[in-house]
Amino acid sequence: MDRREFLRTSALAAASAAAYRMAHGQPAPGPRTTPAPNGDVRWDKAPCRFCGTGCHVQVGVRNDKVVAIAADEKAEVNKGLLCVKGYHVGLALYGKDRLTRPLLRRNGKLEPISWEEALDIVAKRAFDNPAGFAIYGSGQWTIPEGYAANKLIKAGLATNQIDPNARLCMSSAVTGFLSTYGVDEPAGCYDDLDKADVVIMWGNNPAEMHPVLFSRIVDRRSRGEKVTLIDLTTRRTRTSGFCQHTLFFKPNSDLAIANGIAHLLVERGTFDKAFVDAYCNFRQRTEPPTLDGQAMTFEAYRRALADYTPEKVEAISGVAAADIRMLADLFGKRDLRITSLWCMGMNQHTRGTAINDLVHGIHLLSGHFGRPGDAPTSLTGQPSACGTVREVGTLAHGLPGGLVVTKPEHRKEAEAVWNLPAGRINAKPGYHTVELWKRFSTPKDKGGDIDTIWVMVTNPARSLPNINQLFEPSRSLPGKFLIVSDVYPTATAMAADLVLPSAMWVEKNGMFGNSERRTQQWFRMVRPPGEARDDTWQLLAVARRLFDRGVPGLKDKDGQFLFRIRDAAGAEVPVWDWKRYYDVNVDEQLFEEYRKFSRFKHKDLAPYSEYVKARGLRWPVVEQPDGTWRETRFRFARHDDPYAKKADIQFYHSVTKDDRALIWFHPYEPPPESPDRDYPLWLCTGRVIEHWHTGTMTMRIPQLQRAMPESYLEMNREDAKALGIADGEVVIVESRRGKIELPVWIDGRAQPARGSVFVPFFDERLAINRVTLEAHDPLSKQPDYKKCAVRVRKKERQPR
Amino acid sequence: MTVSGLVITFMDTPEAASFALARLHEDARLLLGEPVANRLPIVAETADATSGETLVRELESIAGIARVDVISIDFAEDLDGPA
Repeated sequence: MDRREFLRTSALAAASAAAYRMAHGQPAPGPRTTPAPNGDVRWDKAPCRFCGTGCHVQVGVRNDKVVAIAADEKAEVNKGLLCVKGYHVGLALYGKDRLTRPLLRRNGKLEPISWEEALDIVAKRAFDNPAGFAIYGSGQWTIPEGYAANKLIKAGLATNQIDPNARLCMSSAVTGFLSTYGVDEPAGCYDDLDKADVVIMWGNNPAEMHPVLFSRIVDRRSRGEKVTLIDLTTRRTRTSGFCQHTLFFKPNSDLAIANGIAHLLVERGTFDKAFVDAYCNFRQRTEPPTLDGQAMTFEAYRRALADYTPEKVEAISGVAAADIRMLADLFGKRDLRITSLWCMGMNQHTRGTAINDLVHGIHLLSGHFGRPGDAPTSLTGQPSACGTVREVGTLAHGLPGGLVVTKPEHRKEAEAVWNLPAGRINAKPGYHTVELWKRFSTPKDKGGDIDTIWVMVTNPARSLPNINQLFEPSRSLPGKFLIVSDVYPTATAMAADLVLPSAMWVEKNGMFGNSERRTQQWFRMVRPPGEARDDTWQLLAVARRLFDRGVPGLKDKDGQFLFRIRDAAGAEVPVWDWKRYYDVNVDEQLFEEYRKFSRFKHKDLAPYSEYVKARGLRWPVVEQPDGTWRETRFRFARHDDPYAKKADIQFYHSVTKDDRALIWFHPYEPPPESPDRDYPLWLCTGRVIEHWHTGTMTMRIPQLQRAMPESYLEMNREDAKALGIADGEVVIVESRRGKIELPVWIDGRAQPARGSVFVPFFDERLAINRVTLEAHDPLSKQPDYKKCAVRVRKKERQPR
Repeated sequence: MTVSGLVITFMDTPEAASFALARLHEDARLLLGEPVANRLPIVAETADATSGETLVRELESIAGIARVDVISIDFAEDLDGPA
């Protein structure tokens, strides 16, 4: 069989298997058809590099290059399917402008330097002023990368000055889970999508953002199953086109809608009294707000909801009273299975924690929880926002395994795992993202106490809100030093003082954790270009330099290097020397150490070797009497979760320490900024299917770049008409913080409601975050990218 | 040449599906597999990945085709071409 024939056969086998699965909802009988090894192309598994869905791909490698991508039929997440980004993911490695050498800014220009010199500079910045040295990481870090960075900052420098970009995308989901269940991350999983009778999308557009998951639901309908899809949205999107009900609401009014549903459940007596009596307590907020809140009785809860009649909710939200009743009717039916999905619409919200609490609360109140298909489930945008940020604890207050620096008993546990002297870990959280960058962009004598930020795997020069205030001033302030580890010359890299070229995806070993608690592993398959090197190696090499300089924090309590990596015989391997880095599997050793943390909050992880065999496993993964490892699909439910033993549902990390979850009341309140006479339109920002985040990878994939080459401003036809703006015309969109120019798209892919506009943020050249505001949720500290006030005007013609 | 694995989903109307299937049979770039209910696995061979992308759009526009899912893509030729 020649190579062409082999490719044809493999492609047909994969397509046939996918067709069978799509038609019948289960794998085809007979042997699996994942591509077989061939003398020419070698195949191996990896999770996709892009979003938080966690699809697995088969990666075809020939002559040290990724040459083919196939959907992985063995993957439970994507069941042999991929989205447009997924099947182009291999090309993300081969943009023509990969960074291949360390670069240092001298006299305003970035000039090549050696790795030795570059790492010495990083180490010296941390050594000279550890308190002013921060790492800004990412939900795209692999688990071992995030773990190494977290340990370097929290154990090595003991400053806690580390925060990730995931602060910007899912920290309100974290605080919602913590305040409701006492522990982070969804109880349900993607299996719920196969069982739900009703799927409600709360400000979510999965047809574009999580297309493989959405097609999993839509495929059920094409097989004749009845699934009701409800789109609660502020603009008509691709998702709306598939939904039986598209309910448009005014920005920020989702809290009123949730309260309206709860009000009807209570007043009609259609809530699940037995579930609530057995498993729930009621809670209200305090001032200042906390995750624990204040107890309230059911009667007080009922009185608090009394204002939220369907008519009042209609007046606030614009959703018809009849539709509020329809939603309450659905939740009031025990025989239905209801899944709620959300992502940035609820999280990027100045009331993000509150709306997360309320949606959990509706599910708890109505008993739509714990049965397959009955789940409140947040989705993530990055491939390891859950694995690396939430589980490894790379947020400024976090420690691995769901521990936090503010609790003495948690610090003690972490110090034990890391073999640190007592008291090493600092009890004071570091700065959250907005505060960190604000201080970096403020002169030292005015409180700007952060003078060095090491950015890894993210692009804050385009993804922070209000970049004119949070990012740009730092670039001209004396003493501020920006280090960037990345694979391409992103806007952030090009503004940096020092650039470190990184290996990406299958150029290194890695592990991710997806939206449904699934931990995934892959091996290095190709070498990175030029002198690009692994981020974990960069961190360990800097750590070793600090150890060599005598920084006490880089030693454990026995005086050994904090990151001691050993060979099979137990001898230390100098992995800080790049030539020796792949002598051992550093990922495996870091993961096995990290795994010790996972039992404190029942987020148990299996040994590394189990993940090598699997297409990911959902935690808690618990060893069985026969030595096998079993994953958990439905947390807190006795029918599946081995830690739920006392009752059918047991919230074993309950805030109130009585195995009960909390149903919160939060009132609707107006947003911090609303349209007014000067800035009369709402601005919402987000993504498109072709591009991922700030487009640093997908804009370098020709097929995706051509499919969506430039950002745009989506405008309602009537608003455009009133302003005399034609489709395709260039306009200026302006807020109180900044402005940019964009072409207008009318009746394009989506249609915003009157009085609102939408701009995607994938285009580095057209930075909409010059316009957005940094106002954030008081608990999660997550900024609101979904609503601020802007005006739009035609760009005046230039005189000839 | 780029080799891609695709799944065609036909519309529920038998006449429309038959019309689409006939069109697919006429296309020399396609190798058709065995149909499974209203799904048809196919292999597409095109000059490069860009032509493959154009082909997918052409397929999507054929009356009787509800959806085209891309299952696998081989882009070795694109990478081996001029830098």
